[in-house]
Amino acid sequence: MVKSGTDSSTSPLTEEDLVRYDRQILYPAFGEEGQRKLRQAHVLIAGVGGLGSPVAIYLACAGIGKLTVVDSDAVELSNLNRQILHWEADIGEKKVVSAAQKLEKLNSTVDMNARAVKITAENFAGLLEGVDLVMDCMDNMATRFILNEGCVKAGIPLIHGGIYGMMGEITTIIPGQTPCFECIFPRDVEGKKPFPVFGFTPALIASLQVMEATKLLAGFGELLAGKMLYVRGEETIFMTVDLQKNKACRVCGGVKS
Amino acid sequence: MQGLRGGEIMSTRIAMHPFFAEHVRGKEAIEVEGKDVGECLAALIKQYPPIEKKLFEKKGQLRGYLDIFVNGKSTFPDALTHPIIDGDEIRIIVFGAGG
Repeated sequence: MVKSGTDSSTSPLTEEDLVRYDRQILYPAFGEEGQRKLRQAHVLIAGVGGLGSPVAIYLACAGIGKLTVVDSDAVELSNLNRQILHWEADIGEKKVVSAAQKLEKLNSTVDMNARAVKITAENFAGLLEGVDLVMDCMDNMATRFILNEGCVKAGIPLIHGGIYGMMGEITTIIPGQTPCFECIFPRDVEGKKPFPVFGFTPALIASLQVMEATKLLAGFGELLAGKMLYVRGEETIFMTVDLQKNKACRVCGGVKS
Repeated sequence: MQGLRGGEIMSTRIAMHPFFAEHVRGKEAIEVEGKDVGECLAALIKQYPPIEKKLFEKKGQLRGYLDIFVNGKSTFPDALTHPIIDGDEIRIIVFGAGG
């Protein structure tokens, strides 16, 4: 079964919470119970750039309990067309610092954890301590394979988002249930850099990632589990494709549900 | 029947990504002939002309979210000139590397 948050019975919502999150609590399948589950959740956002900025903003707005943002880069001028947590005055600042400053102002009740480190195969397991869900907002495939392997080993769901130009993709990886990243993509897949991108493409995919995260953590709705949603922006087409698990997968082949 | 290299023509199989399903009438694989990836893709386009705009940018470059694999190996960055020999399998990978 998909993990749907932690035991929320010991975490009553405050009067302020009930007002602040009223419009989402009104959603019948979510309700106060869903809000409590978000409050209990710890989400790690890998990369706080084009995808990571709106993912962090919407998770903070929604009242997630704890956010860990991980990114080793500093803000550059060419980031500002899409990385909406970073502004002109932040150029040169570590992205996680820039992000945490705004997110704390946006929602001071979120426990913010900023980690200015490069994710590696060696350090990722340590970063996952206490984490319920990982949001893949990376800008390269090599690190995504690290996220995937770490999440599969730890049994932590991973919501993959990726973009290029006006194309975007998203899938939710549930260890032991769905195909993993390595079932879907060959390890040496490669493309040119830097990649073209508008601001709206990561905004769109990030919104879908947070929608998936909300459903997964609160335990309602249907997930993009075992399915890849592609957004083809030039044609304004959304298409969903079934993914196949590779029984011989090096990463998840032996993982049982 | 003589092929491009003087030998018997053997067709090459292009495994299609579902991303392109509507442009190849849902076929999972297409048989083509060509001595390199560029020729094979040109043969694919000859059979299914609407797929050209989905594979290539205006300037004739492969779309940046595609990588062409031959026998399980990436051909980046010289995909179009990558030689093809009898029995090779071409696979089109769609991926959003950016974030």
